[in-house]
Amino acid sequence: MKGYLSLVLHAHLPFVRHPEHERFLEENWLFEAITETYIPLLRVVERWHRDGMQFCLTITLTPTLCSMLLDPLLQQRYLSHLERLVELAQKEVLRTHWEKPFNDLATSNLEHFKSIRDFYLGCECNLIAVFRRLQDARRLEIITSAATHAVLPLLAQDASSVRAQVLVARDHYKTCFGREPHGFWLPECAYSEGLENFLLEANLRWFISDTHGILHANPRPRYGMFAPILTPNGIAAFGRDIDSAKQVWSRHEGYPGDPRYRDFYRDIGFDLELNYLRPYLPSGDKRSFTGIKYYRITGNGTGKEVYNRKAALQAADDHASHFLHNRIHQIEQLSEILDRPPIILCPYDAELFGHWWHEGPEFLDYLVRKAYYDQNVFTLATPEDYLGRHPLNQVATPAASSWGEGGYWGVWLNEQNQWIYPHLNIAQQRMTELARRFPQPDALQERALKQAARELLLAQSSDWPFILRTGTSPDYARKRINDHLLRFTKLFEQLGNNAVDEQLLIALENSDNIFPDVNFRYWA
Amino acid sequence: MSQKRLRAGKAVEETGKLSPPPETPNQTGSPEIPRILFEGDKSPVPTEKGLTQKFDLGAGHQPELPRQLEGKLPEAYGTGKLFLSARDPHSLFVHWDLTKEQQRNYNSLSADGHLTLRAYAHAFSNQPAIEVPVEPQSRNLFLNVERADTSYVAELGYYQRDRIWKTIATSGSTTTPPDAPSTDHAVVFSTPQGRRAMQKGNRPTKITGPPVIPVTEPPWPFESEVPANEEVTVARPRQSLPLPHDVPPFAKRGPRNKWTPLQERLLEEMIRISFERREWISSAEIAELVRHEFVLPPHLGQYPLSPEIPSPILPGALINISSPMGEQLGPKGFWFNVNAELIIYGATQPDAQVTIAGRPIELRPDGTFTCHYALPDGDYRLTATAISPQNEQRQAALHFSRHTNYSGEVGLPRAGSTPQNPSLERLPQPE
Repeated sequence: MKGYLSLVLHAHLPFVRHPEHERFLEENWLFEAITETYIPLLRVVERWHRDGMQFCLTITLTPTLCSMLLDPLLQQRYLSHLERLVELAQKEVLRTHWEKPFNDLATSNLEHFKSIRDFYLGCECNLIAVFRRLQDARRLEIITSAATHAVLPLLAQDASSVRAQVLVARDHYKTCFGREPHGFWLPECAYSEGLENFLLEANLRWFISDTHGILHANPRPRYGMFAPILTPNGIAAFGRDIDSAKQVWSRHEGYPGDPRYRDFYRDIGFDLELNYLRPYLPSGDKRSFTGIKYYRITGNGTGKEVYNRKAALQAADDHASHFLHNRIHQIEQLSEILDRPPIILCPYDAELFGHWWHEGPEFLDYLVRKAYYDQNVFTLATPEDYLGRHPLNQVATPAASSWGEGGYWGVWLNEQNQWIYPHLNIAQQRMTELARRFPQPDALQERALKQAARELLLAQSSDWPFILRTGTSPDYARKRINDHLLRFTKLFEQLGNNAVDEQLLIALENSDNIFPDVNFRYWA
Repeated sequence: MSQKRLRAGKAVEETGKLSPPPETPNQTGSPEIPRILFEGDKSPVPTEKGLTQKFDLGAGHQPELPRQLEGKLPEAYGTGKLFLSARDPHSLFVHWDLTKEQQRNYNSLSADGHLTLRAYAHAFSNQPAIEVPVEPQSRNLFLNVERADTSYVAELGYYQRDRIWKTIATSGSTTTPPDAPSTDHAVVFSTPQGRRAMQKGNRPTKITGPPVIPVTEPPWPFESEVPANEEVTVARPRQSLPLPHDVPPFAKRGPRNKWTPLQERLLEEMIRISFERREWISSAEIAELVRHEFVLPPHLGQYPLSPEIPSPILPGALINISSPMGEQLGPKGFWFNVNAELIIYGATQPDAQVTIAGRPIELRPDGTFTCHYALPDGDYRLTATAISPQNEQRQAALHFSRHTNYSGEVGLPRAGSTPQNPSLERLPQPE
């Protein structure tokens, strides 16, 4: 063996839960990700386990995602969503009766959705328990991320907020998985000097930086991004490999653009008669995705050809071989230069596999099996494995960086979303003020302090400035920021006046119920 | 989720609102369709689970949030503080928390009628690197700065009528990210334990847990590796376990060759080639990934491909990944889409079994049923059968045909409206 390949998937969704509404469009983000990504990936990993493959995949499950997967209301709503999906798929089998290629797909869709439902019911709706079991069996290494996926360098002016994002995440991970996390996904791979101090405090061992975070580190890393560096306090930083990232999700040449793959956008939610679809659309009269798609990407022009599952799987197989071949070549080249085995670190958004790229889980399955059985140039390893095998690494401080467009914080701090930060900065200072003012709160005050902490954390999510920046439809993001900051301010005022309104507090606890055990003292 | 984004890269569709019930009457003015066609969709089944309630702070409740929480955020809080953040190697974001009244007051004291912002490179510099006037109503500014990897401090103030500078607020410092590799080539190796032990005195004050975290040493073949040369600082004693006979080359211990300029140059070249080809690819780009054009990579072939491993990229590929999303452009000029579907509906005893073309049909609680069928051009037959619990049978043989003559360009209905899909013209013939 001449080196290592480390695959890291990052699964994250913002906390979206609206008990005040019977159905809520944005809750579908979670439902679609469960159906299309999380359960398909879990089934792939379970098959590796069944087949005795000694392979461990690294995956981030962010605290917001874990919270939603464990939430009884969302679990119940997901089941309802699945039932509607199965019902629509059944209708599609009938509807396509005279169109054989479509009918074949409709039939396999129906079977697929039923199998997803079986899986979900089989684990009693608790996917976290399945992830945990696979981690305990050493088939997954689950890492955590900031509590609400805040871009930490943008909070760095307020150290207590960074600290709370890290420590709350650590605590939540222990609740979910019964052990301490070792790895930490910096949201958006965003690093700035000093973050490692909070990671150390949380007993974390390593994180991932974008490529230039390593290449521009000080002193200059000898091995580039092909070996981790140790921050001055001993936290390891791994750098993302450029070539492997580009092959998978380059917007110009990434594998998911192959014409044989299923077209993401061509969904019956946009094709069929509205009255037929209405019961299955999360937002009544507004067309949206249903998850049922019959066409492949096809090629130039607007005409689409019917999806051919066999051809699509062949494409996934071809791409897995191509990716594998290039990694072998890359590692062989590097091993001739380096005086230590290189590590190629390949982090991807988990939702790319299955949701956006329908055949992504199969690609991953083929790639891992080929790498495991068919070559002996590199070993599949987690970053944790690598550190165990090669604890001696160069000491350097990574450079401030992110994986967003431009490489820094411009995606989350620009003309469209800068208005957030003045409010966040004040709220953060106020939270510290509260935590210091109430070292020994009474029961009601403590509940109010915890709720204030939840509202602040939810307002800090990187998802809201991101959505505002895309400009597609920023109303929801703007409303979420406003709501959480207004709720925080109300609690701040009530605590300051020693007049906590318990009815209001109950309503907020019911609505924004993330992190039941949040420790408000982290802000002190 | 699938609207325009899924996660940090997930664009959203419009704000979700309470969905109208499925039975919402058609409000488009089109002829009324029999209500039976929309009825009877199954109610969601209750969840089957017995999960911990630990994460439930009251999901059963669905209280309305009090009206007192609605409203707008204040324009400012009046703390008078100045905040500074580096955004990238060459820009800073500055904002100050002054109410309109406070700002108006300071503007009136300024000889220029507005405030001025200064940025100092390095915290202790006496001369501002930049000084810019700010709009009288503005509370923030993106500031371009020259130096990457440099700490900056900002100062907000104004010139008094005697041109003496008056400071209103000073920010904390921020450091712009470096935009190039470091010129420091010093190499020090250590282990996490070694570093952490050294850091014991410098740790944050609120650390919990053990000061040194052991790194698990896995068994063979993954012996820990300890390079030995004069550059290395080893913060942990080397282990001296015997090596198996088939140890891979990199696991062998002992003196290594010193890192040479040739190695450095070769690696730099390899990284340079990768770096020049890089795209910014992150969550934000996922939607683009499946939407934009797919082209033959310019470097394809740079890595020698084995004959048995075909390139997945089609030669000469220029493949458009189209999107029916809101961004999709509709056809230019006048257009017309039309299609037909067949709806079969009926009713029987609620406990009867109904099949159409041999497929079982689910009845609503009142015994009614509705089925949609795509109806391409052609002649079709369907047999609907109902069988009572007593095995009594009723049957209807239905015969349909569709024959369409197009005049001009006519497409099938679809959101965004696209020309007729040629694939649908090649549908297999019906039974």
